[in-house]
Amino acid sequence: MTHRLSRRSLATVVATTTAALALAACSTGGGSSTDKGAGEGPVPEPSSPVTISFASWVGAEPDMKTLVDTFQSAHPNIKIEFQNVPAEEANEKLTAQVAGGNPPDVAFIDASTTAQFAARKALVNLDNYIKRSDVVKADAYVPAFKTFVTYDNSMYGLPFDGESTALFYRTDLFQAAGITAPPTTWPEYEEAAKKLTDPAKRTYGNAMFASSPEAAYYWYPWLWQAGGKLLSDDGKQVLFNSAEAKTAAEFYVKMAQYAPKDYLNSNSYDGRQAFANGQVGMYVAGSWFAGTLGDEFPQIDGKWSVAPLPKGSAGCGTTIAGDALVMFSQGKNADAAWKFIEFLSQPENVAQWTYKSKAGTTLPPISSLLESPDLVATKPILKGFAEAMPCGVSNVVANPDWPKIEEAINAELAKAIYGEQTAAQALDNAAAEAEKIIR
Amino acid sequence: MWRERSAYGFLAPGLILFSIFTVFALGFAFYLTFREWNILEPEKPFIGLQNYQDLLHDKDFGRSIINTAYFTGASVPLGMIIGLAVALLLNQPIRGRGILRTLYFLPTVTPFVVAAIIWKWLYNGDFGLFNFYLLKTHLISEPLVWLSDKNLAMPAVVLMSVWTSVGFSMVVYLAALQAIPSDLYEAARIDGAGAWARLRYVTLPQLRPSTLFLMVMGIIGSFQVFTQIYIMTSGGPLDRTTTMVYYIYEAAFKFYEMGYASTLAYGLFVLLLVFTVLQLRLYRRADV
Amino acid sequence: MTTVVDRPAATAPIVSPPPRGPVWRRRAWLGFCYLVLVPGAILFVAPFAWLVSASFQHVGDIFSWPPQWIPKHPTLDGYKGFFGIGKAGELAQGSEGAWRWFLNSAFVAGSVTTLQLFFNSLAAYTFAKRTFPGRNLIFLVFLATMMVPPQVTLIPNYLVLKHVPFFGGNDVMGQGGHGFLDSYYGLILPGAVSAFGIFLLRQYMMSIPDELLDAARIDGAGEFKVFWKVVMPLCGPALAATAIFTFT
Repeated sequence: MTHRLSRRSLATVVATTTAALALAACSTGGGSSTDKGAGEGPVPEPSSPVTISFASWVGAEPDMKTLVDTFQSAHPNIKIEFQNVPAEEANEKLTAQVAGGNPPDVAFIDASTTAQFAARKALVNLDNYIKRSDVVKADAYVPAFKTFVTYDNSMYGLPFDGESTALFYRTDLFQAAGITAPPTTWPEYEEAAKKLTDPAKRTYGNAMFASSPEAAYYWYPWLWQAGGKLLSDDGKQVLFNSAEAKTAAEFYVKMAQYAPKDYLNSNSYDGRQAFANGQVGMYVAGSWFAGTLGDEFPQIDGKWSVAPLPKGSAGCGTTIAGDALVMFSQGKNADAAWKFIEFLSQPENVAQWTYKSKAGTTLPPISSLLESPDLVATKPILKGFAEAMPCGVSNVVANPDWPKIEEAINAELAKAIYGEQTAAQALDNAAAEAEKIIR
Repeated sequence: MWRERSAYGFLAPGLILFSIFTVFALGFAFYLTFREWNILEPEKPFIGLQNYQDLLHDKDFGRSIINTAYFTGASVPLGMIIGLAVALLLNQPIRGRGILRTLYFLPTVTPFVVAAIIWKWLYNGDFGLFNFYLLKTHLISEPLVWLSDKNLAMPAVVLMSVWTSVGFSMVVYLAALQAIPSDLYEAARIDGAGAWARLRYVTLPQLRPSTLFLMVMGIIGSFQVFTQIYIMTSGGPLDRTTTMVYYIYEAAFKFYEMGYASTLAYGLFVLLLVFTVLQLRLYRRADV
Repeated sequence: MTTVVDRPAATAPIVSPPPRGPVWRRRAWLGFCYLVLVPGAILFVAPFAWLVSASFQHVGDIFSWPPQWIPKHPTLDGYKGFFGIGKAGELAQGSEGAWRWFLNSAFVAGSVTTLQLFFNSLAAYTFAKRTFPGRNLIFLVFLATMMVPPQVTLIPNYLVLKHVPFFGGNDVMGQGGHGFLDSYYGLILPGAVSAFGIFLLRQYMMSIPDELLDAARIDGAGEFKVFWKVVMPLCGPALAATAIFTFT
């Protein structure tokens, strides 16, 4: 569960481009993705042995191994072959594999990239299969997660796990600075940041990045809390330079003075290291980070805690993200591939993969599981994250031009963080750029 | 006649491998410059010269050329001059030459990615070794934030690159120094040339093929600088270190505009080709 | 051909004649050399030494003030990860240690280096010491292939490897199979010649006096023999340099 703002680990950052060279490929092309799975009744079992390749960065996780073993013993004719890729290279590798005509049959991907692959006709439209399934119900998913995998009113992926973002804070630093409780409002957040900042001691309130994609990504929660939006629902109108958005941006940029300047041009990986090393007292991250802290930084156990993000003028707001299971349209065994992702998507298996997993700290994207008392009983740390889910907003815009627009937001906010323009100017400039791109 | 034909025979293995693996790929990339391709879809619609027109109006690409020129202009001469100086000193009859040579050469054989990661630590504003020693020796009074400072980021990347390239120039120069026949020095000495004159009129002219090599390779290599940028600055802060290849990389793998990325790459190619032909010409005129 | 033997190899002692003049001047000059070279070497090695020190430290300890050259809490976790031992190994690579990648890389690099030394010097000799129509143009074409960044040729290259005829189940048109992908050929052959190596060796060979070659030709040596018996032995330092640069 290490992804999104890619956790660029020191070793795996190794020129992602070269990794793509080591891939396998087959013939190009691939039929239409809508006719797969057409038919009635249960999807047939393959009559002769088939192998389904499954690309993910979780193939080595014990829970995944167990799930796959269970599946294989129930379906003796289907063999699952893992293709393990580091999370931060997954997108590029899949892209190159699709280009080379040899994508895996099934992949575990960052749910937010589903639309991007679907828009390029790389994925199987799952509507036919879902219609025939007793297990997978389109309505059972938490709406925000369903949005991730929906493109052109069809589902192209099955949400598999998810998370919201919350405020991680160092209880030891809070105590030392005389702060008794985590901030619940913007003014409290600013006050805490101020108290935590002491450059002479190398401690700071929070982390701030003027780089891409961090500059925009960490602004979004403030935007939601102020009641702002990125684009109109039809994607044609730019809304991120509204008055609410400007309030959010001004507050956000102001927080740069309580951040280590050294990481302005760095990435979130360094920011999280800084949190673990006690260099920053507060850090906004998804629930997966709780698991990472426990695994990799046992020495700070008991020195950190999690709180919901502070509320803004429009109430609570948090950025959500998740992973999804998808099937590639160039795959040859769509029915068997479906059998596999259908199996993984059974509620008990989703629960096993998310909150019931030993080290896992992700949330189930299925409403009934998310609201069940079983979840809080099993993993108390997830309580705040699960509660924040209703005010979850996705930062993903299903628009092929969005990466360029987001790049403009990044670049302009970065200039504001470096003091070259005001936050309001930044948003206006980015909006002007965005309007040019949308036209 | 036979001897001429054997020359082609000697070149054949290289030429064949090159045509299969390199020239064909280059041709395909050239074909893409007239196309729009997002890598994922098989369709590559023909768009004529659109990519080339976009290139001419791309201000960001223009800035990346300036950044690249800054990087090249600083790192190539520095690496060569320091490499030459070290090679000249190491060519003296001193003890421990082998060890010293190895020490200077270590950075060159350190994998580039690893080197970039170490230097990122060294430059860390709060915990880096650079600031530690600079503060300790009172050369600075406030910590510098090297890679996050608009004006220091590029010099910081240059410094790191020079560190990795000195060993290379040194080895090339050393090999060439050892090949200079000692009778040349004898003759110069008999003519009454002092140490300086021998360096100026014997050593340096003899090193010209190596100098040409290092310059051509240095310019080709540093015009394509990527790894350091990717790891240490990601093109920031505020695009101050966005070099041409980093920009091309973003076009290809961030925005999936393979056709445009290929066009940019050919822009870079033309620049480099002109530079290289000019250098080879200048040297030929100077009779090397 | 005794001159051949007399030429220094990469590790041979000094070529530069010892400075003449009074003893104090010689001493002062050597002292100056040390004074520049030793501190310089320390500066050059410091980042590398820091890497070694960091490899024995926990991530958290790397960020401490003042920086520690000698790890306070030494750990072998990094190395365990590399060899795939224990929990650190699992975290790093799943169940397999990075050392397997390391062995694969070493095999590929070794093969590439051997092939390159031969093919590169063959081509370099031709460019340096032979005259034939189209020499400069062909040389420029070789150089030009280095001028397009690999980020762009990555995907075309990949397609080329996939469509190599007769390999990996491909037919004569290069269709149907996976060509050189997933095979050592795909990793080794594209690297078997390099414009870089050819250029490096060519520049070095240009400094070999033509008289040596002519003498050998007069003795009746064929072109290959001239190349193999006269030129190659003279190229020790340059070949060593090429080998090192190719391998890394």
